[in-house]
Amino acid sequence: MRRLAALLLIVGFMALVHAAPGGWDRPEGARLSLSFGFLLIAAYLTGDILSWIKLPKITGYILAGVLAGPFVSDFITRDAVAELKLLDSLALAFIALAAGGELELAGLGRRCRSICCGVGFQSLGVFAGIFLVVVLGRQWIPFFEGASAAAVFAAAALVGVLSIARSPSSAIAIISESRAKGPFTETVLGVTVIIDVLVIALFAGVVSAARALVQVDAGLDLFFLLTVGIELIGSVAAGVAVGWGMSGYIRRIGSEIPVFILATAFLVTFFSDQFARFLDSFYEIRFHLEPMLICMSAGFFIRNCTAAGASFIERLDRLSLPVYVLFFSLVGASLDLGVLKQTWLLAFLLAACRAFFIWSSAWLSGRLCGEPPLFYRMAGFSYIAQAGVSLGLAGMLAGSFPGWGQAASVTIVAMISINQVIGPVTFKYALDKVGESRAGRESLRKSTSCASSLREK
Amino acid sequence: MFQTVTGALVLLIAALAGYRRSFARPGWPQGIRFFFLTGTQFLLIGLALGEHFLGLLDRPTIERLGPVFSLGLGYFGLIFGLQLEFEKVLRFPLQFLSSMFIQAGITFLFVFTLFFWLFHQLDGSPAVFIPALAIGAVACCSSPTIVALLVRETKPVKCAGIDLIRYIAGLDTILGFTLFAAAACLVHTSPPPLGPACLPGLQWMVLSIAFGMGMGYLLHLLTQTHCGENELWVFIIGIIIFSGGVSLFFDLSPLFVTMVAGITAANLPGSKDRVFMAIFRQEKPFHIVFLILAGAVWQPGLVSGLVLAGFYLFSRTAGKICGGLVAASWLPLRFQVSPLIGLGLLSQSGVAIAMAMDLYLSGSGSNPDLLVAMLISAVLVNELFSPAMARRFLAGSRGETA
Repeated sequence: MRRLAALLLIVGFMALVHAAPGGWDRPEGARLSLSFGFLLIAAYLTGDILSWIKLPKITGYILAGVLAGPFVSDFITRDAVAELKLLDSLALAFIALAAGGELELAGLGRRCRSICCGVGFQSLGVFAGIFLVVVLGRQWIPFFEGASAAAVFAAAALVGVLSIARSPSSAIAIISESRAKGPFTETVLGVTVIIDVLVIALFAGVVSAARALVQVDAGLDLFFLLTVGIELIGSVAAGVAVGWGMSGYIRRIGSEIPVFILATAFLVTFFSDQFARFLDSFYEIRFHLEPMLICMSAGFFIRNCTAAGASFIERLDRLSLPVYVLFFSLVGASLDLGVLKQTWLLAFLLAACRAFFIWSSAWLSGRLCGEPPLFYRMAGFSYIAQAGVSLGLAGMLAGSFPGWGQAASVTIVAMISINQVIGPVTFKYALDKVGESRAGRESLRKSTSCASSLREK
Repeated sequence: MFQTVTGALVLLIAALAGYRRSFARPGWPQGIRFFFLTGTQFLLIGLALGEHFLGLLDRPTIERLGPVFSLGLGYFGLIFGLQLEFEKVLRFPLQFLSSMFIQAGITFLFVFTLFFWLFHQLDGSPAVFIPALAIGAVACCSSPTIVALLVRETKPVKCAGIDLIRYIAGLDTILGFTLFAAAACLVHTSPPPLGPACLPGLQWMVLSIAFGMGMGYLLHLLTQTHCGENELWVFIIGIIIFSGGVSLFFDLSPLFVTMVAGITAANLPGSKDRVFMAIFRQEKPFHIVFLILAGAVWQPGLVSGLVLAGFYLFSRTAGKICGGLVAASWLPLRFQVSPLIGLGLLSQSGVAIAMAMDLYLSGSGSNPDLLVAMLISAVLVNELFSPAMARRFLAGSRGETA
């Protein structure tokens, strides 16, 4: 009850400030601090209150962001959301470090077969399924009115690729929150991270093919494909270098590691952005190192190839909660409810179809790999969440194909919004059911001891 | 660009390494060692990263990092406030409290009068009252860090003089922050919403106190029930940044508001000790990031800033010495205390920087860049000679009896 009272108190404070005459015409630093502080406390308390009804805390953070955001209360204005993007990028870089650090080579080796099957089946299954749904249902999709068959195929392929994308940040936050560990968790994390990297390459390939299909004079853009390949390899190489530097610092100096991690996240974000601008303005080359992939590779390298892994993970864990609260509440605040309102029916149908194809392909791959029945029944629930990369790619889709590309992008953003809200709930449910979350382990222990005491009687 | 990133990394690693190494080099000259121990070098790192050199932390980036700035600023206010538990403060003789008020008050009056006179000569408008008030408020604050470090290092004979100086250095900041908040409130020419149309400054001051108390109660409410260390951090960071945000939003002093929040939380029953320890344990990262950001907004090229810094150092040193002399000779203390007590109160370190940044963010002064340049330059010089002065005071107080 105290938490509820505190939430009401902080909302009351914010409402008073919000009601101040001429209030929002203030310096940027003041508005950002106000928004940031409010989001941090209100989102955490909302998450905590929702956890009473067994929902994941990050759903609460997202919900608080939605309620405080520009489409509901406007406590956090659209401008503030945009201005907080720098801190959001820092948080994402931090989460990527944690995601990479969670991937343990030994565990991945043990689960190699399941992970490879999961990646293969789910990529193919979801892509093919969504492609067919869009092609077959084209007459009911408004933005295909008057479009050529080639355009429909191109759009279906792009929507299919974007449906494959996942959200490593949501996965890592739920794993961290529920203290999950075990083979199921390792497989889900491995599949999620690999698919999120793979989708960038697939998207580049499909965009190039779609351009060739839609524009008569365009062929397959091999240079574009090559650039994306180099971007991915370059990001991984940069990540290894960053990881090597960080591990050296942790082992040799070892003081103020939180400041160092924060500074590294800032530098990686700054560097990739500046590097892209530099190449574009001086050599007219579009080349962008992906900060998330750099940080993920750095985290993976530190964890698996250096002696600083344990210390690194421990420090990250200590810093993680405020970062997750900030990141997911900002995700909530930036969810475009206006877009969802426009295309909610189509977006819901697409989200439902995607969930079905994910579930069936995960079921099939788990069954073929000889996973325990509970694992393959629950696996599909673990891959629903989408964010980050898919949103970025949806934006690129709008830029690449003016006209239907923009309409398709709007629908995809709406679908991602739905998945971002539902995904964490289903993933937590799956972790509880397979008994790899703390709550799941406890309930499993209780039922085991209950069964053994009954047997003794 | 590559030089920028490489330079930034090298600087950061050098600073962090130097920070750690400085603890292991007792043979270094005292001024330099304390300079490192108080983390003052991070100001220079921030300066190097700022727009005058590497350009990594330019003004727009700093604006976008506003919450981090508020966090550093509010951290100072909260930690000072949390130490002000009335029960503990009143355990000491009342003369200690009077000494604090006398020496801080005299320093304030000395510096305020001189700066008011100087600004009036230069500008002539009555508005110079506010920056002079703010500078006077900064001058009366002292940092207890140097005395604590010297006592730990030299292990002098325990005497009441050392207790007195630690007491004063721990509490004069509260007077400084309050006067500083008054300067911020006096900038307002119109009352707060729904307030009567008289004494707007006083009304804003009352609002600052009320809001600070509200935030303190919220902190108390959140930390009263059992919560983990991570959770505690979310609440502390959230409340600090929110308080800072609201204060800056209404052009109030974040330092004062968070200090009031800290005082409120410290005097309510609950887990204030846990909060204090959590903040205390994570002091260094906050301090470092804050000093780096402060260094980035510093404009050392302002010649007028350097001249004013000299003037500030002179007037403050004189004020502290006179204030200490008056407190030591006029008050009926039950023990002998060196008349040079003011020498032990010269160090300011992070406190003055925090107030300079408060000035910069809340825009209480007419020329915040100049005032920031003055205060940072003064602190850098002050931190080089204040340990020697404090040591001199400690050497002089060996013969005193407790």
